[in-house]
Amino acid sequence: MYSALWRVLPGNLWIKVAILTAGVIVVVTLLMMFVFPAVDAAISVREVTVDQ
Amino acid sequence: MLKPGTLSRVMGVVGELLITFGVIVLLFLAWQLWINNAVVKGQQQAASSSLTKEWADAEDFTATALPEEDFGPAPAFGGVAAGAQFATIYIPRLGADSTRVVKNGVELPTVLNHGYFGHYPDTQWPGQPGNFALAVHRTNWGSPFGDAPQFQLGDKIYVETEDGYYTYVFRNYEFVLPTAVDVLLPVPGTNQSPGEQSIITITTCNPLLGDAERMIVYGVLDSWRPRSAGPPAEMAKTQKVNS
Repeated sequence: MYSALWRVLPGNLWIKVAILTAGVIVVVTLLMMFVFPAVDAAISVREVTVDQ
Repeated sequence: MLKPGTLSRVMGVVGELLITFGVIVLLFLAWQLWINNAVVKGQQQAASSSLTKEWADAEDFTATALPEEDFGPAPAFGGVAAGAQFATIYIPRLGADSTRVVKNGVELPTVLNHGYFGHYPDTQWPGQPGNFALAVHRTNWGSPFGDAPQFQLGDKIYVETEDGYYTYVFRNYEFVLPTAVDVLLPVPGTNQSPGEQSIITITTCNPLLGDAERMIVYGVLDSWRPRSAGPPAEMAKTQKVNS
């Protein structure tokens, strides 16, 4: 999977590294801004109140 | 029957997906433990100092922390609508950066998971005889409350509203089941009338990182300062906006 991705990326080594770095930054940012908050709300419910 | 080459390619992709998933899970943990914590903490500090500033501007007032002076019994806070923010809370024992905003309501998604202290809507208000009951996360979600077991008798809990500054002092802990709603009574645990007494109750989870029980922190109202008298000296140090 990743070796195929590496092959289809254009340019020489440094251009590929630059594209991948940018891609990783975008993916991590999207995860942290949208995916993780949603997952957090869904799975890590920790109650701190006494039930009224 | 698959050719051996195909099978190893498929397994290679599966392996890469599993490794990717593992990395994402680790990223999520790092986000939960440190990144989101730091972000929410920063938002809370910005929100609390802008609230303080807004109240100060409304009075066109430059705070100077006067020495100890008795301003008599505290007036009761008037109350706000559900979901509104109405106070800041500062507990020196939890660190100089422990100031947080208090909202009316104890819902997780809208209040507590954004680092706010939540006020139980059916309980009383600061300065009102009875029980000013709050809930807060113990760890994560920007909470400073992980150090709550370090409280010592007499530790100050400062609550600032538009009207002024309520100083509560820590009285005791209680560890209860999540169903122990009697901690929210005007006199926690009993059906007595509170008389003149004002109590603060803060509920959080126990044990650390679990929620099988609740840790309850109780304090009693000790003194009050009107806004025109300026914040208590300890609180003034954290409020650079007023200087």
